[in-house]
Amino acid sequence: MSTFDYKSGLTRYRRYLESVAERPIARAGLFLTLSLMLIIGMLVFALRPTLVTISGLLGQIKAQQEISLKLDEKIMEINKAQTALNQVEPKLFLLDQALPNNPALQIFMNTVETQASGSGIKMTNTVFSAVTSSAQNIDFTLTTDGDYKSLRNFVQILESLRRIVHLNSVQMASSEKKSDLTLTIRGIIGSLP
Amino acid sequence: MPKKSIDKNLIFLLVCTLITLASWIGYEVYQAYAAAKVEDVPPSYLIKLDPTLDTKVLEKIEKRIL
Repeated sequence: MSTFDYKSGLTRYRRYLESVAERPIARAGLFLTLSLMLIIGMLVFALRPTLVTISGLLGQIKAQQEISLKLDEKIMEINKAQTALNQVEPKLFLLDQALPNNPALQIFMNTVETQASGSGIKMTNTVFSAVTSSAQNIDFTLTTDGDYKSLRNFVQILESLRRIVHLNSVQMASSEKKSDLTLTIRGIIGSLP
Repeated sequence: MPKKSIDKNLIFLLVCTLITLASWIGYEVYQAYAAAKVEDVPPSYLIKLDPTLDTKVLEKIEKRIL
């Protein structure tokens, strides 16, 4: 195997450069080719990664600015909500009365009994479904005796109680006392879990 | 004569390569810009909040029988 003869290679290269230097167009062509190759090399190995990194960072800055804007808006909305909450704070107990965070059956029964006696009817039976501290809906059945007008008034009162009451069924039947009717109300009272 | 044509062809090829590379890099740059996002913020933080309270409900409850 012959070794590389760098002397003859160098001589040939020098001769080529001399011949190129003698012809201006060829020299310009060579420089143009080399310049293009250099530009391509720079584009691939230097410019591309730099530009991709810069554009990625610019994109992240833009995304951060958008998020910052959204969070600023949200802070303003939270401030508005806080102001609105402060304004209605004295009335918030109404929500607890409408939907207490425990079954509060005693309060409900006191209200119902007060309204029943106010309407002039007699409560004969009250049944609640199994009550647990975490129950959200409690079924109840109320049985009352009274005249038609009083019973109707009582149902209207039940429907307009501050405590949220949903009446599933209202049944009237004749009572043992012929002048009175028996009213059976089935419904649900709610509470927060 | 054939050498001149090789030079011309080489320059044409290099220019085409340059254009292709420039387009490719432009596309990559745009993609990197468009795909950039911040993943640190939980999406729930960015959900819009309606600050208006329905105070009419409270007024309605207040009018009901205690």
